[in-house]
Amino acid sequence: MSKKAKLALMGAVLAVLVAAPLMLPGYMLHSMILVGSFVVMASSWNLLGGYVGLISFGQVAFYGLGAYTAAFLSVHGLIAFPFTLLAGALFAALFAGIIGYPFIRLRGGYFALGMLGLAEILYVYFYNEDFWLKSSRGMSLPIITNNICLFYYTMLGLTLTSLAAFQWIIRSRLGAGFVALRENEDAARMCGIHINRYLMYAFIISSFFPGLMGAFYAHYVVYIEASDVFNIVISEAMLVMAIFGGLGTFLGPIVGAVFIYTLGEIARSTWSAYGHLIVYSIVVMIVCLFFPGGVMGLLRGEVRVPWWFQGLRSTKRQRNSGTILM
Amino acid sequence: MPTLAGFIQTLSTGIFQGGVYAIMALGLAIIFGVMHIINFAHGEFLLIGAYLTYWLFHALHVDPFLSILLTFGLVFVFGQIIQRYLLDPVRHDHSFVLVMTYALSIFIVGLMFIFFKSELRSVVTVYSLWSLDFMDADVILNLQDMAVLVMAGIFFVLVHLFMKRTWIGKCMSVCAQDEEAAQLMGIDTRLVSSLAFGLGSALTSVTGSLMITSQVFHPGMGGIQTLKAFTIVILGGMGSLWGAAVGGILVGIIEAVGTLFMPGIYKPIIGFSILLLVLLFRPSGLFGKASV
Amino acid sequence: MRKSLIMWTLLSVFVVCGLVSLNQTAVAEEELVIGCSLPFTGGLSSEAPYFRDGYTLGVDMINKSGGLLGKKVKLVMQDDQTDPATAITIYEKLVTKEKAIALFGPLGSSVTAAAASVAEKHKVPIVSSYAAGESLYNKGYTYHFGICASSYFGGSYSVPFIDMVNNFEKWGPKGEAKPNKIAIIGVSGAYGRDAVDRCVKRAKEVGLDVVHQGMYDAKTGDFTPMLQKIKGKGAEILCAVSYYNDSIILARGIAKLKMKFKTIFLGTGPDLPEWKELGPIGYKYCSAYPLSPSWQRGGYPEFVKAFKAKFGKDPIYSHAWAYGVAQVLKAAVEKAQSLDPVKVRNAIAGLDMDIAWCHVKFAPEGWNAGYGGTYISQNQKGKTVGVWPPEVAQAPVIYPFR
Repeated sequence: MSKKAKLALMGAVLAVLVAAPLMLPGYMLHSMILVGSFVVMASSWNLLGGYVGLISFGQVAFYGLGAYTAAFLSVHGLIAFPFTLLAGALFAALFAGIIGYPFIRLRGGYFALGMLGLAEILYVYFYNEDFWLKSSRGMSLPIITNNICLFYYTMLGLTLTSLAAFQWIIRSRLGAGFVALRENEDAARMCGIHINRYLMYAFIISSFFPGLMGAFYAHYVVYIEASDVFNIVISEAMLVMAIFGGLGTFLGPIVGAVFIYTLGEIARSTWSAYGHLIVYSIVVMIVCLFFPGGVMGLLRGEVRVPWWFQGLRSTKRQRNSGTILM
Repeated sequence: MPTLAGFIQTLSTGIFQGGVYAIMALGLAIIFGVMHIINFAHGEFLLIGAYLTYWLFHALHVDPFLSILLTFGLVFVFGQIIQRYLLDPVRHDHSFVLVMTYALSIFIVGLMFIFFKSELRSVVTVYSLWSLDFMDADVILNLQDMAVLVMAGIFFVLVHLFMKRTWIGKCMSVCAQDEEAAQLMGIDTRLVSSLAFGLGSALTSVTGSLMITSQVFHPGMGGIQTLKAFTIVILGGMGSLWGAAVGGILVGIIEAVGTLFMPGIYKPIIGFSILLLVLLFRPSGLFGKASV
Repeated sequence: MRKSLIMWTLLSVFVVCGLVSLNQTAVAEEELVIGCSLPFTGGLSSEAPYFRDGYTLGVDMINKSGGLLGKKVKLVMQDDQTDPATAITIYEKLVTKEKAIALFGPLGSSVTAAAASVAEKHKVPIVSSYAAGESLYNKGYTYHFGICASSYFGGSYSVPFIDMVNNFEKWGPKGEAKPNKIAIIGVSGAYGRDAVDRCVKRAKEVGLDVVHQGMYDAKTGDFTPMLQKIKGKGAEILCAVSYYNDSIILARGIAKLKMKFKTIFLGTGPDLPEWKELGPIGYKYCSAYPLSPSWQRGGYPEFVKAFKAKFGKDPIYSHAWAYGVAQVLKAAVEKAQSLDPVKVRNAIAGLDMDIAWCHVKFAPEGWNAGYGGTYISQNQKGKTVGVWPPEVAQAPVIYPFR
């Protein structure tokens, strides 16, 4: 696609998004708000998981911290709505900065589990906290507005700004450093990249955005409990969306968030009660098995053929566990 | 301050609980040790065992300790199928293994919801209250809990012998150290790893069968058990059998004794704090050699 | 190149399918829709089946008695995964797409708050059966009504037990001394915390000696260390504000440790049919019972009969709660003689009637001020028997516990 066509496409998408409240019913707008928040969170997860290569299962910790920061500030009427969003995000990032150093030294599964443990500890703390925040009794925020369009435009603005920020980070020296880290730490060190400093940058950036979304969520649903905002399902959703869409690509998490959310929504409203869990999990498994690059990889034509699938087509047995056709 | 009897009682509770934890972690240690994958569906295999035992007990009146054999066999086969057809093709891509096992856990939870509904299930045997009493019935050792501990011990010895003495067990150790070398030596690594996964998940499901004799089960509670199993395996040192056993008993005791000295609500934090402390200060665990 | 063409086609087919199924029109014109969401999966999933059965039976009852103003009613039910954001999607969709004329409430405070905010926005009445959180009633929601009493206004479900203990001479065996040392524990979370505070306050008022007070986490599978601690403090009475899950674990721990309590109260559990899985070790536990044992008004006998016919077992109070929601809606529509949501809402606000398990008269904030209070029941050899207060008691309390 030429640059002009790209610009035109982007303009068209933007126009449709801006005009959406005029055409769509309330529940679609609400869905789009949720998708927007997942797009931002999956992209920020991708920064850590896809570009730096640290798979985290506990980003929801920052989501919850952001939500409670916003709740605390607005229940006590300290600052106005837009600033609570920023405060939530900044507090999450600050927290990440303080506790981050020991975590970024971990790799692979250890990092994933450490983050999961962190999220669970925060959950238990906020679920039982009854001294100053009184979050164990549930927190009720003042209602800002009942007009969903306002929330929609706020979310649209936040999403676009965040995406622009991601794009800028990825293209900057920082992004190049992240990729270098992921590919080969030693080589990156040789090139003069301060490994720990870069890891900290990535860790802090990817905790800022969940904090922002958590603060938004708190204002949006006006009543939060620890079991909602520290729900491990949110962490898992970020990860599945980013990997489903394609790790280490800009568009991947966006596509993944839209796909996975829509899939979950269709499954839930079609197969009520428990069947949707089955359908959802089978689709995710199929994508994992056959499309190693996620949706973006699929667009590039990457398909994996598992060994047993090859066996079904020809009796010749392969030693490889799976071949990737390009 | 708790009395001596109270302390002994709590300690014994911790040891009984720890025995169950040890077998659960043993399964995970084998899976991780041989294949170096992180299995997020671990707790769900526990559910399978627990619900099979529940069903056998209520529908066919099979004793939970007998049903262990059947559970072990069934899940051993089921685990191998999972490994061969779902995990093996993606095993070289760690992020996909995570997503695959995550999807698998949702799948199993969905099945459990459909077959066993969302009500809480437990198994109460006629002998569940038989016990040995000491010190004016201030220290009560439940016989069923002791039987569970003995079973855990037997399983540990059997698994240990299997890994050290049998041909397949040795193959697993070889695969754990260097898979490519094993392949060059003519070991069918796919067979070995599927056997390892089958064994690991079968051990986990046995834990479920043992646990449902004293606890309540619900389809949604696999996740917390997964995390606990990881805590123990990391504490013991990834891939170390002795580490899993000692780690399990340790975590059981620390949780039980810790509750004596702090409010009950913070009991879950104990386990996670152990996880974090070990990760941050001694990532190789108590018995692990490899550095992270 | 051809491969990527196929991929693009597949992708666009998927997207189109998604859009189509999101926009499908499912409603037949003549049927009225009542919408609700229940947490079939997620944190509260063990509660959902009761309410599903109760709501279904309630809607059956409406249809059998001629529908709402002669029109048949259809219940649209979806899984909200105990997640407020999902609940908003579902209720928005129910109101705007399915054109639901009224909503039945979900479970849990945060999810109900989310549903109530949607109802408020679209001015559709929502009647919930299981939400007692303060925040629901002080946010100025005018379209939300809760038929269970809010613990913040009407008193906690566990406090009557303290009163029962205090009036020991009215039911205790002659010659026994009144037990005095009480341990009060509760499940963590908004409901448990508030109830424990109230029980402790009441116990101190009536002069009981509170030897232990604490919370525990419901996810913990083993309570023996905590029970051990209580045993060490010499408590004679145990009052546990618990859910079913923790009740069972507590009962098993108490049996295992052979604890010598005089009497024990568990929030929910001993009155549920699943409790029988415990066998004899589950006998003699007291629990809160929101239905008066002698209550026969408000169509309760018909409800029990219809429930047995449809599901082949005895109903529990959760079924009755959910059924009552349908009764409230039916009565309001008949009173308003209209299906206009605003008129129905006003009719609900003015109701003063009996439903299958209690009296209903809504306070301005939307909680049920007509609710008479909880009763204490005891599991006597597997049967749930009302024991307190004396005017409704069906049998004397079996005492002591051990």
